[in-house]
Amino acid sequence: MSTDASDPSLPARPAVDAELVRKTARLARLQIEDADIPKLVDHLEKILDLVGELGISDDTTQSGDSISATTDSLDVEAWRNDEPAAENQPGGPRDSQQIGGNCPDWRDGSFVTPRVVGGE
Amino acid sequence: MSEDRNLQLPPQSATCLEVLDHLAAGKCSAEQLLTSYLDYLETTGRELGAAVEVFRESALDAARESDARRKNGDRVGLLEGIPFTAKMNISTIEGTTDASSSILEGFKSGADATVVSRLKNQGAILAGKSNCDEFAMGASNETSVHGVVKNPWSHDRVPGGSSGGAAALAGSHGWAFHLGSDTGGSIRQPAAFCGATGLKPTWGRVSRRGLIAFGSSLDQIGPLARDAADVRRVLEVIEGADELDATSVACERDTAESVASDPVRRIGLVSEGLSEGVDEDIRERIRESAKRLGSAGYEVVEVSLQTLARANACYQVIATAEASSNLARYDGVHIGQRVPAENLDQLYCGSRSSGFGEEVRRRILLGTFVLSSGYIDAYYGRAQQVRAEIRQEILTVLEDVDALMMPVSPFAPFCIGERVSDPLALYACDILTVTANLAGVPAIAVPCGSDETGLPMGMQWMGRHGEDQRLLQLAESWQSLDDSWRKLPTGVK
Repeated sequence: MSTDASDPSLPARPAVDAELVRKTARLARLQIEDADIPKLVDHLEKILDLVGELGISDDTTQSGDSISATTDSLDVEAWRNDEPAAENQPGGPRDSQQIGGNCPDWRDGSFVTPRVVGGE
Repeated sequence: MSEDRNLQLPPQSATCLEVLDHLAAGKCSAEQLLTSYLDYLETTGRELGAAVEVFRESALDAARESDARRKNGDRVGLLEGIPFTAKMNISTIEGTTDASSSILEGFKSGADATVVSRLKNQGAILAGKSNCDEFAMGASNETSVHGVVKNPWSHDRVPGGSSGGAAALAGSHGWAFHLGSDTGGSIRQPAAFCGATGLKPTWGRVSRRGLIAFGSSLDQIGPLARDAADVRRVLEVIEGADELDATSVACERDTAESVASDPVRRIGLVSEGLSEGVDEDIRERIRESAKRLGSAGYEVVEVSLQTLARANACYQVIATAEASSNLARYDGVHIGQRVPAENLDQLYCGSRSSGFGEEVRRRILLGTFVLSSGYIDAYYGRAQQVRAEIRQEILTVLEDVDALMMPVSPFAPFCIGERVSDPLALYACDILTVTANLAGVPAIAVPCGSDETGLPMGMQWMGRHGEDQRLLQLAESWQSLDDSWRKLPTGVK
């Protein structure tokens, strides 16, 4: 929690503690039992040490200047247009019975959830 | 037909292509063949933990229809009458598609994945679903809600993962093939551990529609089978652009015909893949294999992939980041498991925490962390830069050689329980396989013998984008030199 990611001289990894684990679990919508915290701190520390091998260093920064970062593995410009499929077409909205069949609580064509407005 | 069903069955080590000839010659029927394979799945497949679901009724119906097509002289498909299984994260009309996670317990996809429908259209018969690590996250098939899978060569050892069920089936029985998925080595590593042949195609060459997403820029469906010729046949059926998958690519790809006159000639042996972190007997076997290829007329030169050392770190960031996004959809509202809750937040947190297993929760946590404010540039942003460097280096090295060669795994199949509680020990399984996923290039794992205890050993080749067929031709050539792919575990006829 003691680092600023915008600082190019940041240490290899931030300090990992119970607070960081709880905060991250909250973002991920996961409940963490107190008894599990020490193991998760240990694992996250180890994994972030491994991730430190990314080369968080000047060398990587220099390389990054000449090679653009990528989220794709291919340079492709032939992607299909991303258009919604028509009703009842493959890939399009399915019938409500099928959707409801996989839903934990489905009533009158709707997903049922606990109260959203007016709750805590 | 049941009274004479064993009379003319092919040996268990026979390949799909050999059995297609067997069927065409009328030596047995598809129903006889399938009945025998279903029995295998129900016995050995279940005992290994590899077969999760077996579709006896629908498969036998399909087999009878196949026999009728042959009898009537109707068109027969490229895989007419051949049984196959799909990994539990690949959608099928039959059975459930739960990605081996309790959060998706009982999930019915309601449709076949594109690859499955293409196979059925060519006469292949879906016989069952195979076990895998939960959401394909694992390298040992020990994180599945359906239980651990045993390696068919040594039942106290893991089959690899995440497509461990598919590999255990492919490694112990012929004349069937299996659909797996490979995000960081999940087809190749288990194939190597079980003595099977497995291909991770070029990213985009095979539709991912119907595959439950893990890391979308890395995931790829591919086949596992006894040998490269079978894998080639399956690829030819499942490949090609799919209008239902916006990321399937309608770009040029090689064919068996196009590579016949331009085969692999020059192979780059990756020196970093033979470093001290790799077991000595594996290094020796890869060097021996390189010599054999050299004797067979291939030019083998040593090359360097300097980014290999950083590939696993890069992969762990990108794969977990994408996983944390992809798995955000499992919220207890729309699909899957739900726990009682008084408000929506409790519903989300409670359902996700009880539905996901420990390894998946750990990866979601890491992925959420590397995408969180204050850390996204330092981790995810830098990983994207490293990924670009990895791809650039691979493409540059592949300008000088036709294929890159190295081991699949740095070590032999390990004992069940040996690594699963230590994430770093488990992630070390991926160090030689993730590069192909990060670069999007095709890669194939083939058997290259066994160690002194009799466990299978595998090697892999990587090729240029779209040159999957060239790799397959190389693999076929290798398998004409080395018959270790033909061997089945002791006790299997």
